This record gives sequence, structure tokens and C-alpha cells, in this order.
Amino acid sequence: MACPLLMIAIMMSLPSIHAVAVSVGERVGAATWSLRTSAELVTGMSIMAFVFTIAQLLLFIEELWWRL
Amino acid sequence: MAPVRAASSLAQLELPTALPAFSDDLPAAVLPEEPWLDLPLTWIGSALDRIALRGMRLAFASALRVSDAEREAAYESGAPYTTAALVAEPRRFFDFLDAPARPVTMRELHRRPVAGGEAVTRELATRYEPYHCSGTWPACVENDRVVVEHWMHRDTRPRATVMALHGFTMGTSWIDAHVLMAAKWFALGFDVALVALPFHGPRSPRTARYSGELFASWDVGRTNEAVRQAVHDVDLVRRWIAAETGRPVGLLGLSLGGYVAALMAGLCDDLPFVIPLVPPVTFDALACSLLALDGPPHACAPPLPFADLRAAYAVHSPLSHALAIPRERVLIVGARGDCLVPPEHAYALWRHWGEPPIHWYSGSHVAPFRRARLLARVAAHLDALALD
Repeated sequence: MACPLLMIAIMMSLPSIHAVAVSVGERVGAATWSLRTSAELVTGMSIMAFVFTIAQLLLFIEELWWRL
Repeated sequence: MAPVRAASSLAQLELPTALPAFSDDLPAAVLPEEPWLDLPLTWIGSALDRIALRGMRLAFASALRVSDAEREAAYESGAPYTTAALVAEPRRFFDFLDAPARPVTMRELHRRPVAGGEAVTRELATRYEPYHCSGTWPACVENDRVVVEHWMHRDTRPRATVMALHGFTMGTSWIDAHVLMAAKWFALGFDVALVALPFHGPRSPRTARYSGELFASWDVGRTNEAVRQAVHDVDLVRRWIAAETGRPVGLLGLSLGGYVAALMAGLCDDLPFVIPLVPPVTFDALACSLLALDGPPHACAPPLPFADLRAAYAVHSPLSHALAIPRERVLIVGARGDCLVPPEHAYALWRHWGEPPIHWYSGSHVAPFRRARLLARVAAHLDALALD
């Protein structure tokens, strides 16, 4: 149970982390592109991991449901 | 049951605004009616797919951006794959399939017990040679070996081997085993071989930011070569396993793996079974779905018009090859609420192959609900083939 909750907590903070990372990146000039790209990648991958986790949780619940 | 169009059952639940369809040139999918009890499952699955798509759009944002240089290169790199000779006879692209088998160098990396047998991790050296040698084909030592996790029965003879092919960005064996239900096939008496596709998982270069980064890109030539290498390597492994076990070796592939499996069903006439799960039939399917999020006109357009991209990818599209095995050996599996690879793709493949057995499950690309039903359908299909 802790895993999905942790994921949700991370998810909720991701948009802020992403915004800050992009904003900082834009200020530091040369590093902008790589920082922004990394922030996008990390955020996007985290969303995918989150969705995958939720999907697996739902599939597990569904399997239990049909067995009952 | 009366057939209905794919979107009609979903529309009853008022899904968010439909994604613009870039698969307009594929026939509209006509699906059997879905039991009302399963409608919410498909709705939830579709919602999850849409969130996953948003995540992918963000993760691959830099890969989807196209510079002028990349645009120019895309035109040039695609040219060798659209010659009149290949258009007339696309099988020429896979000429290595007709060559006699070469000796294979195999190395065992790891061995661990699983219930009823053991999982042996092996690597087979691949001597893949690109069809067209261009400067963009990366020299990558990690990609020069095919890593396979081979689940083998210890005391009983396997009914056959299921070669399980993973999707784009996958390639980590324990995740692949879970998603591709390796334990279930193993329990049914099949050996299972989880194969890492080129540039995925352990075959990714150290510099790759995610699994499969070098597999799919706007570099049309490199992408075509990666698909060609996938076919080459899967064929290499299946020949090796068939020789070792003396049992039939069939294919089960998910998404990108389904694309490769469907393609091989048009190239190899000795496959005992082929089961593509949610297979795309055009290689730009995911890019279409991602770019569709931006809405027309695209904030981020592809380097080539989609028609040109499809022409460049056509040489390896399953729709460019006639089914080479009897229809009864094939089972297509589609997802009713798939937003990554819309149902039109599985439906187009079904039509192209002359309407072989097909199974539509409730759910989506990332959330395949009713897995027990899917498992039973595939098991029944394999039983009917009398592989024993």
C-alpha cells in the first residue's frame, strides 16, 4: 500500500518540480536545453510509472473481485 | 452478438473528447458488443491510457521535436527503403531469412529456479548487418548480443516454446515476465523465452536515457534497420531454441513486440502459432497518438508528412506482407479502449489476414482487464493447435 501512496505524493509534487527545473534551466542559459529535457523526461517517465502502478493495482483488485 | 463500431460503446460513458484520428486511412473498427458490466473497465482503461499518453508526450518531448537538419536527414535516410524493387517485393528487405543458418555463439549468464523448472539467462551473439550502411547506424557493443531469459521445464517435455516479445521502452526481464504473463504460459506446459529487442533493456547503450531510445526515432533509416534487426534476432533465437529443444517455437508479442510478431507471420511459413497483442500495423502509430495530443495543426509536426513516413516504413509493415501461415495458427488480441494503438490497427490486421480468430478484451493498452478470460482464450487457441 505504501508504494502507490508514495507514488501519488511524488506525482502531486512533480508539476512543481518540473516547473522549477524548467525555470531554473532557462535562467542558467547554456544548461537550459539539457535541464529542460531531463526534467521533461523524468516527469514523463514518472507519470508513466505511476499509471502503470495504478493499472497493476486495479488489475490485482479486479482479479480478486472475480475470484470472490 | 451484434457488431458495433469501436467508439459507440465508449461514447455511452461520455469519454473525454476523442483524440483526433490519424489512422483515418485504416478501416473503422467494428467490434462485437461489449457486455454492459465491462463498459466501466474499458472506460477506466482508456482514462489510464490517456494519462500515460500525456506522460509519454512529456518524456519524449525532445525526441519528438524536429530540427531542420533532422527533417532533411529524415528524407535522405528513408530513400533506400522506398526503391521500386522493395515496393514491389518487400520481402527482399529480409533476405537473411532465406540464407542457411550460421553457427551461433551462446553464453550462459545466469540461472535461477522457477516453480517446475529454471530460468536461464543467455546471450547469443548477433551478426546483424544493416541493409543500408549509413553513418547513423550506431556502433553499440551492448546491441551486438541478444539477451534471452529462457524459462525451461526441468522434468517434463515442453509442449512448445512461447517466444515473448516486449513492447517499446520495456526489455527488463522481470517486468516483461509479469506483463507478458510468462508464469501462466509456463504453468500451462510451455517453455517461455523472453527476448530483449534491439536497443532495449540490457541491449541499450550506456548513454541511452531510456530503454529503446535508439530503436524508434525520426531517423527513418535507423528505425527501419532496428525493425529489421529485431526480425533477424528473433529468427536467430527461435532457430536456436528449436534446434536445442526439438519442439515448436511460436511468437507472442505485445505492442511493438506484436508488430514484430505480426510481421514475422508474413515472413516465416513455419511458425506454429503467432499471437500479436494490441499490435500496431503502421510504425508511426504511437507517434500519431502522441502528436494528436497537440491537436491540429500540430505544435510539433513530424519531419515528414505521415503519408511519406508510412511509405518509408511500409517495407516492414505487416500490411505489406501476406500471411505466410494458415489462419488457424493466428490469434489477434485487441483492446477495446486502446488509446496508444487504437483498435483500428488490430482490426486492419484482422481484415488483411482474412479474418482469423480475434479476441477483444475490455480495457486498454496499459490496463488489460479480464485477463483470466484472455488467458483462457489464448490457452484454448493453443490447445486447438494440438502442439503436443
